[in-house]
Amino acid sequence: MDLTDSPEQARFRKGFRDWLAANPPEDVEPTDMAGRFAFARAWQKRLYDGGWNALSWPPEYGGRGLGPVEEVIANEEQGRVGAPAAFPSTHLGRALLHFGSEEQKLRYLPGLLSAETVWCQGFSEPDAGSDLAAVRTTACRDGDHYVINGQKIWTSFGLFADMYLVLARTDPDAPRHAGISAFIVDSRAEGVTMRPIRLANGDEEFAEVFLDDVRVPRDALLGKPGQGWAIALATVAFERGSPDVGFLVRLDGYLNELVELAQSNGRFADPVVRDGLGRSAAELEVLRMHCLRRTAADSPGAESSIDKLLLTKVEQHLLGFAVQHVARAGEPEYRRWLDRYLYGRAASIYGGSAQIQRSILAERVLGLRFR
Amino acid sequence: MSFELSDEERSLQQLVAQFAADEFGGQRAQSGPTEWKAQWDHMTDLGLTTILVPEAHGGSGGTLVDACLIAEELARADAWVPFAGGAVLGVMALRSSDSAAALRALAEAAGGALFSLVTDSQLQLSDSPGEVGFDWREGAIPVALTGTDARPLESAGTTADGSSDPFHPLGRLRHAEPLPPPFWTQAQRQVRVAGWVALSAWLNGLAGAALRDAVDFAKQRHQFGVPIGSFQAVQHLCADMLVDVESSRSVTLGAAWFAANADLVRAERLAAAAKAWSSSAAVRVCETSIQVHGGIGITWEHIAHRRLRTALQFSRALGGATDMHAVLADQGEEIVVKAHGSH
Repeated sequence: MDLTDSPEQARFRKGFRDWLAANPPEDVEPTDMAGRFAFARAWQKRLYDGGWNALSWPPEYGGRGLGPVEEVIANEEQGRVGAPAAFPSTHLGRALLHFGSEEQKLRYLPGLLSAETVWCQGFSEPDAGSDLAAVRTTACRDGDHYVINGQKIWTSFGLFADMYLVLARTDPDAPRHAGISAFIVDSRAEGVTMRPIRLANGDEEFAEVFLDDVRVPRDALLGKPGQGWAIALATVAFERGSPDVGFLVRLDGYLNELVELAQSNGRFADPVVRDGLGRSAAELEVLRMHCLRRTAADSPGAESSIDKLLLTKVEQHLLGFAVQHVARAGEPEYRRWLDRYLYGRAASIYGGSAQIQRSILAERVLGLRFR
Repeated sequence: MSFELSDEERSLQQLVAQFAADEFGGQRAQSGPTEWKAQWDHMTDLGLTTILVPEAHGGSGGTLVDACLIAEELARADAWVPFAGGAVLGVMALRSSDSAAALRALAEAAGGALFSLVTDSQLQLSDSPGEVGFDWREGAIPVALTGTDARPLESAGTTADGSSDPFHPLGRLRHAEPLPPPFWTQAQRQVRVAGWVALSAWLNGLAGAALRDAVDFAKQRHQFGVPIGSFQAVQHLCADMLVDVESSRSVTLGAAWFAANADLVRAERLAAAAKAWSSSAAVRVCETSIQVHGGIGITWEHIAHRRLRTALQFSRALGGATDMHAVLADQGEEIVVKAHGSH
């Protein structure tokens, strides 16, 4: 075990630190959803143009060809300067990288990594949430095309999407897990309609996506026909804990902001507040070390459900504590924390609900499977 | 930068696992810690009790990561040797002083003598050295952090009280003279850091054993004609235990590394985080394991309550979660200053 930087890693850290000092992130994050989205996207673009994003991705697809450790270092350094959190689409990129043809990878990955193209997940449906294999959207072969029909829901950042990765049933006669395929769908294609879903915090971050006779060329198929379920599992596993997802940066930012707020409104002296902030600080270290330990693992696998449950617990505790003890109704900061708190309730639902994660761990890691 | 264990670390882990299974496995766990000395001497021969004694003083010169791997494997096998108390806290205390007496004592520790850290009645290292020998065994030599020194003591009237935790009794000490409080020198703060980390590692081993047994039981025990582990209500309890165990291991091993490879403030931050998290997690896991076991889990004969007793005692020792949160909150101002300073 050796957690110090190698000489190359130390050089990398120094280089990034210098770059960040010369290119500091803007201080004020917009409060509205579209503004925040543009803010995160602009930051990612700036990182990318500077050569400090897509670190662990192959150079031929727009990456830097480094390893997961460099992603961790970059996260640490961005957390240190309070940079905006990374734009959350790299897990879809991982799916393209693992299952895509050479042509698809060359065509799509550079835009995805530079945040020029916004990629979103078209997985869930009204009757296929936790039971994702129940997807009813269909894709039928028609000559050199597939014709897709169905409805997707809970698509994060759906309104901003340029591209969707859509799960659709290509073989209605196959066993239900085997009959699903994954497609790359352009949001501007004819027959694609989006409708925003207004969330509890007022944000329109999620969307419904309707697919009516959407014709996509054959090469829009990702992987092989019937490989959709494997692609979906891999995608959500990457969503759950990879270092390039950048949640540590976001949570570090929250904690710093909260400590600052507690100091300015005088509540830092309250023993209950001190205990809660100390607890969150401890939990962030737990999360940081756990993610670092998991980067040694080759692929996310079923254990990524541990990461997701841990992350959710830490995030929801921090946000719950913020609205109950640090920011208070009637104060100007309360609204922002309330919005974050309400959105934080989604953390145990999206990307596979906490109950699904527990079942995955019980069955696949602990061997409590008797069927 | 990698969490991956080296070949040496892995073989140490295997050695200890094998040793612990041979020495503490099976029915012997019922008899408790009356015969700890034979196992302790065996561990000294293997270089385990002396892992943190520097080579120059006749020890194995290992790292805190090594000590954590040993602690975890011993605890996983429900071992009743005072490794955390003696080989980590006792030895680290002696290492914090360069007095002639401490150096002599370190040489004795290299030969297998057991030194037991003196704490107050709350098992804390508070402003006045107290009258409790932590992880005490008959024949142990108490060592107190006092002033800038770590002083081995000739204390009178010591008795081991194992009523609350028979695996890890406490010594009741009477000092000949009152002792001044520790000054909390850097070296003394390192004792605390090592203690937080090693106690966490022991707690993680206990929790790992509690999880393992709960899962095994859930696979074997049938109700309603099926294994109880087929019910989601039981599965999800086990999954929560797994999250607790694995996250505790991550932060503890990380803290063990940074204890020796980062500045003291960061070392304290991580060690306190490890102790806070592992303490709460281990108690939770040991309680949940009893729940999964049902009635059998609350019987005297079952080992579950012994693990819970140790989890409770170790989680409080040198400070529980609340105390650790206070350590981190005290660093709070620095967090913000750092974030601003780099703009």
